[in-house]
Amino acid sequence: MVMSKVRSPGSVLPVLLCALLGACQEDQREPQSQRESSRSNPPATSEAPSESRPAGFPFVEVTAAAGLSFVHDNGATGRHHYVETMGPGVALFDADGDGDLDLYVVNGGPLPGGEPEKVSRNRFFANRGDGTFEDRTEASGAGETSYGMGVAVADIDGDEDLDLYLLNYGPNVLLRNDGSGRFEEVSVGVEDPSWSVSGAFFDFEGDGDLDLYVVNYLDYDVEKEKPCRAGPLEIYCSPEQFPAVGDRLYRNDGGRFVDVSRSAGVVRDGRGMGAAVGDLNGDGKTDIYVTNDRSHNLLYLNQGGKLDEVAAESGVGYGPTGLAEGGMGVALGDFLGTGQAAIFMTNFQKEPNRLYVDAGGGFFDDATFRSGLGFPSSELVGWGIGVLDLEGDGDLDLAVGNGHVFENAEEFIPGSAFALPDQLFVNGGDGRFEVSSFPGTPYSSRGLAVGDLDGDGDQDLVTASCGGPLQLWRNDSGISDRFLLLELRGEGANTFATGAKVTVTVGEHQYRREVGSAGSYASHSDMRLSLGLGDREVVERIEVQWPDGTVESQESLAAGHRVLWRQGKGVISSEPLQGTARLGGES
Amino acid sequence: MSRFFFTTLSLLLLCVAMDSLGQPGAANQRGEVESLYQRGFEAFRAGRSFEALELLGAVAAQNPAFRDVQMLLGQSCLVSGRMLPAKKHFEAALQQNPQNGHAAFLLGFALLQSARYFEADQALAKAQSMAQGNPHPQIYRGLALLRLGKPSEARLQIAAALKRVPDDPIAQSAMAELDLADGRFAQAESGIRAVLLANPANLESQILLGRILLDSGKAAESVPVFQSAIEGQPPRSDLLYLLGQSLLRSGQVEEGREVMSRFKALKALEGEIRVLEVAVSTDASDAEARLELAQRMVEGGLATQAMLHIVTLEKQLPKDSRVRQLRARLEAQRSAGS
Repeated sequence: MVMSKVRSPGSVLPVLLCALLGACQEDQREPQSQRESSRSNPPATSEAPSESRPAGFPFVEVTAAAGLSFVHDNGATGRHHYVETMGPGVALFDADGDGDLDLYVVNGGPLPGGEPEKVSRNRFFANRGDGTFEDRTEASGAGETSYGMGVAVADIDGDEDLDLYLLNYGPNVLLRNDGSGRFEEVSVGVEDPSWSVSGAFFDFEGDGDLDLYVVNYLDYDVEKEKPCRAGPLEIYCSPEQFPAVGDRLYRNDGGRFVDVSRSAGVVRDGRGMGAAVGDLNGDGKTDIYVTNDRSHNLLYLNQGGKLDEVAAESGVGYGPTGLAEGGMGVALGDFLGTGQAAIFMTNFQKEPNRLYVDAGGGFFDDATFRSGLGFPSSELVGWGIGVLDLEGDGDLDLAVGNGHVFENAEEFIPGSAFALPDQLFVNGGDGRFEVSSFPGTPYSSRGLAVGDLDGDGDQDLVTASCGGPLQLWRNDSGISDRFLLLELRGEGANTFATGAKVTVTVGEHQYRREVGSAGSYASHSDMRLSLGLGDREVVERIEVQWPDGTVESQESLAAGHRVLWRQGKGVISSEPLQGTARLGGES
Repeated sequence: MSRFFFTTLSLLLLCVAMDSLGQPGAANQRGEVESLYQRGFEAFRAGRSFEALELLGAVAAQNPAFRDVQMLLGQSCLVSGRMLPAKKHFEAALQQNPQNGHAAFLLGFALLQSARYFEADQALAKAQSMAQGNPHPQIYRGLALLRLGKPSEARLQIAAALKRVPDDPIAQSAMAELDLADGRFAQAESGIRAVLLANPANLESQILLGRILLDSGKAAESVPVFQSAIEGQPPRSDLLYLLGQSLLRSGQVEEGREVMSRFKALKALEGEIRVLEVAVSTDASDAEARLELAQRMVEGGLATQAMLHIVTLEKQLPKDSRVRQLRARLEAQRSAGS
């Protein structure tokens, strides 16, 4: 039967002739009214950090106090251009090599019906190291003006700095970093003209450099967009009204990229939103999982230069009854702490965020509900994902950015709203997560990234909302002594060791992490690993399996330290995690 | 589980209809409206929803408050799978008589079926308070709460209903679904097996049993369950997917791949149908899109849905030979099937 997007117990009720009669001809979506205004996000954040937070909630919102001011321009004018419901992504990375994380956020821009002369730039904020940020958009040359969606970060040319790949509605842009946080646009074959959302760098064919998977969304032209209606009202179209455009895989050939999508086995299917890379079947090669919106998700197992798409057969392509869901963000990790690879993905309303856990034999089990991740997300629309260790106990917790696509959702979806609360899911260590919602005014979140912005070992968090403000959340757990911050440097062109696997032994407990270049939705999180050690003062052993397969290990590393480990040379520096000045100013 | 809903619902609707037979109509309603109403009511009782809607719709157009016409229209929409229009009629019925517990319950049911769980919960809570002797509002409220992501509250409601009607198959199925979500596989399996013991042919319970077995690592046991469920059914991608998964996971790789490839083909067709459905719902006058949609539905064996569009096309394109051919093809398909 034809599947609707809802998960309804009545999906098999017989459909008779009522559809053709006047008595039953109202539109199923039944909006009651439609605002002419643009998005209804409340105004940006307060001036001073808010110290009010629920008991046990680790984050305090410090955006304005940290000198960050950004409101996403999605170009909405009330004409309901579909493109304005997407983006923006956000990235946390050390752009200038000074040891702290800088921040990059993607912007939209004017759309037909808006102000064509208006220029909206992506923004680059450099971390001053004193708890505040400086807007260096202009000086950095990173103020791209395309209608942006997402951002991916990697050292594409092996010069030990991080470059930016910007995913746009329109041709994508690669900005090469000169090492000082100044960027220059270069044309190296990855100017994909499709509507792209997310990108993932990984070593596809194991030759030591980073290739690029580009997640593309729809075949859509804002200039030719036919308005969609519900009765007399104009509304956003459904993604199902646009054909998929097909993702792209670009092989890095010494700094120039070659489209190898077809020969590698990239399928044309899928309205792509997010991608995450990691070794999902333990064969040493990096695989890819791609979330798609209203088309089935994709799991590519890397066969060494070829990709084998096996999502449906593995049980991760569809919802539990074969329904293609509205996949958004995705992250990989050992979320149950059992050593099993797992995929966590966010979904549209009425579809819970899903957790798939490796069951062996090429199959994944759906652990969505029994992990506690399912029910709290059923009525929300999830996007960006942050994977972090909130308690320093070595298990993985999750942050999820939520927000509806309909700016007037509250008017025709009772109980829902455009602005939805973001959520934290704290891992109890027993395979179950406990949820809490972010306090304060919600926005319609999209991009989300995590990273230790103030050098105290715990992970802070940034959310970017559609048509709304950027928000910086400082982690005030105050548990630096429970972490070891590990930074890896690889040999060869993959200088940040993307794909390296780290096995940590703390007392009786052992867990694994993988240095990833992708995840979340359209966003990039810090690639350093915040390793939680619980109440142990020393980590007994850390073993690193580098992307080229070589293995090194270190023993007796002290907690509360930031450790830089270079392939072939071991730990070359270890400094106490004293932290810089507190994010947002006051200490 | 929805077959249970449907069976129970049919009984409930029949009860409501029979009740309304005995109600004295407004003495001064005569003539054309009365005649239309009587014919509409007979059509409704005979299960001719299309005709009932036409006749009762005409009654409502002349007098929206005529007897229980809103209830009958709501129920006709409900059994036709048009939940949101049904909602409007039940709301109108409630406006006429705020103490109409059946209207409150059916409104909640329609909302639940439309995946409007928040509102369904509210309507069913109201129905629950209005008809305390009837366990059904409580059972369906439990389901609404489950879909709303409130498993603890759902469990409370369903458990309370089960105390009142321990053998109610809807409540038992709902509890089994809750147990499955919580990973209580043994309880879930025993609950749904109890339902199937009373009604072995119930398709939705078979599917739920298969899912419980599949999720609890008993893939081999789930294979015959899905095979039995799929037998004699029109193409259903959910069943193909579940059967494919159970075959693959129980080591029957070749058979599993074959079923998965049928599943994928059906999904591709469903995708095309969905795009066309959106196009038709966006612009109901687009006859070409509707024709293509009907053709795809006939290809996919979706006879009932296809017929809906063919009937409309016969009005939109009365002289078009493609429409005639499509009807002939569908009718041939139906006779071959019967």
